[in-house]
Amino acid sequence: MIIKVDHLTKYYKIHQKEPGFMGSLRSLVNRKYYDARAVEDVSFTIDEGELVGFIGPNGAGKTTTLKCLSGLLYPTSGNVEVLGFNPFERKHDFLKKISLVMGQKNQLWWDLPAMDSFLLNKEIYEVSDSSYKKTIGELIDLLDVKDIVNVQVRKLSLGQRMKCELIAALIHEPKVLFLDEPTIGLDVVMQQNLRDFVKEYNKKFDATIILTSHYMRDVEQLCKRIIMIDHGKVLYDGNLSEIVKKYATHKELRIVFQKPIEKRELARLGKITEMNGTRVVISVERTKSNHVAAEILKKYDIEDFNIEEAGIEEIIRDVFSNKNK
Amino acid sequence: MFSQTRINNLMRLLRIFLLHFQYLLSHPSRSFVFIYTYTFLSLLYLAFIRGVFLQNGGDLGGWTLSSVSSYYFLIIVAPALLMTHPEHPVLRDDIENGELSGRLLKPFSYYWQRFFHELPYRLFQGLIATIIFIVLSVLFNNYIEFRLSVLQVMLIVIMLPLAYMLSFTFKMILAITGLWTTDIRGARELVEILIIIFAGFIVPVNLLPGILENLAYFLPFAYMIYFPVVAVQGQLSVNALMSVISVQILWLSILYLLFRKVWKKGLMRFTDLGH
Ligand SMILES: Nc1ncnc2c1ncn2[C@@H]1O[C@H](COP(=O)(O)OP(=O)(O)O)[C@@H](O)[C@H]1O
Ligand SMILES: [Mg+2]
Repeated sequence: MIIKVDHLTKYYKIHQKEPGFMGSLRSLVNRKYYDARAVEDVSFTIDEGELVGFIGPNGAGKTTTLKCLSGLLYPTSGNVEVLGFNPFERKHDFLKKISLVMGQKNQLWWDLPAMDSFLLNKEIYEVSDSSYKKTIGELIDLLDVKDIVNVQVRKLSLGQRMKCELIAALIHEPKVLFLDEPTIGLDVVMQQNLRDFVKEYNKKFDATIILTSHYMRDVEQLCKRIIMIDHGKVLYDGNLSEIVKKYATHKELRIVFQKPIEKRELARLGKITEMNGTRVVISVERTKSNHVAAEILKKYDIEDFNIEEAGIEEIIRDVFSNKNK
Repeated sequence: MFSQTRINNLMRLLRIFLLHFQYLLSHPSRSFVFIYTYTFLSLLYLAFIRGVFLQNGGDLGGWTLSSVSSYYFLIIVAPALLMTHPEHPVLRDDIENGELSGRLLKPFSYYWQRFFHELPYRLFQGLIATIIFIVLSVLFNNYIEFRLSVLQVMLIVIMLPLAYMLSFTFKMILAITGLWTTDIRGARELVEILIIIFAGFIVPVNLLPGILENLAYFLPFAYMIYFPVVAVQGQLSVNALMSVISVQILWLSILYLLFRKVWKKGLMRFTDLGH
């Protein structure tokens, strides 16, 4: 077992300031705090070589969990163990075996070519010359960045920079890799490149990887196992295929009515997943979908009508909204 | 005495240093702003004190017009070389822009990461300031006389790195208070004023009015700038040098322990806001 999370809870103390000048004065003397409950009683374990998708809406607690796992944040309560270490101690032996990559943060030197930042990391992580040569060669090939590693980082595109960030984070060949939204802001082609790379890295180095994303495509292609989290709590932990099987029992009716219909009236027909003026998406049980469709077409004036399989994205959304009720 | 692994490690630190120097050279112009300010202020203070000297006749608290002129020229070199500014990148880049998290996850202590980032700037600016010092000496036809014994030189060689580490550690403590509130501009400006007064920027510390002079010997700032300067000017005997070094070591130990304590506390409440 590589990662063990046991009843992890993390609250952020938020400083509450009363408005206005007097409020500022008062808060100087008497600071009021409240807890933002980012992660609450989360437990799971992950084995060597697993590639786990960590998914959930914005603010669910994904990043917070990864920061606790990598040792950046001090847990409010509960236990975290990674590779047998307590992450928060940040022992150098521990840090040499992990890496946390955050999509929107950069650690490369802006005014120098990425190659110089790689060299710095080589020295910091005490990577031997031979192993550096081998790893950097492989990484540059895998990510196809031979032409750009000698260009000033500031001149690179976002996607190119992200690739270089990844290389910088992987020079020491971490056994455990935390990827936080690595595909954020990248174009479709680049996203695919990155996914292929993550898969390859997982295989080649037998690395244990946790990936967070809110692009379901990332998770769909990469991860057998997913952990779904919302409001800091785990909603589901298991195989992705199982959850699809369980929830693909529904179809989606995408309808544009000619005039607005009352929500209550439509709710009779199925679960309304989206409603925006005359535009409505209703999720209906597969077996009933034809029947419901016919009923709608007969009863209302329709501008546009579509029946679709619920995609993974919808299925996941389904799980989230169901469990949140 | 030097095992192979030790040598390897030193070589590694040297390579880390050289990479940081390369980084500085990718944007050298940023280094000049500080120097201009120091040079301008120093010459301004000198202009004032010259007036005082001319009114009072030749001698004031053991200073001559010539030695006090050299003092102000050296007050350009000393801060360029010894007055560190880790608080700028720590507050702006690491705490406000959230680069701290990346650095915390490196297997290299944060204190020393910041040390290696700072050192090239000081050496580079020290070099430029030395050139300015030489130019000013020629322009004012006022040359410093180095009448130092070998022992004095050796003690100065010990004193300079201590002065450097003293200011570095002090500024690091100041910087990481940003983990509690990034709104410490007021406190920082106050400290800058204390440094300007007590490190000997405006007048040599022994010319400060009585109580301020005593306070200056008690506070750490004079040991960062003033004492190294008068030591180089040959004003400190071997005994005086040794006692200055002792105080430096004492202050450095206190400040380093304080840094460790504040750092540990700060990290417990670190939440990595800049994400
Ligand atoms: N540094 C912080 N200080 C205070 N609250 C935070 C901080 N970081 C995150 N939060 C809050 O904690 C919750 C979880 O955030 P996060 O872990 O970033 O979620 P996710 O990565 O799933 O979007 C959110 O409500 C967020 O507003
Ligand atoms: Mg996040």
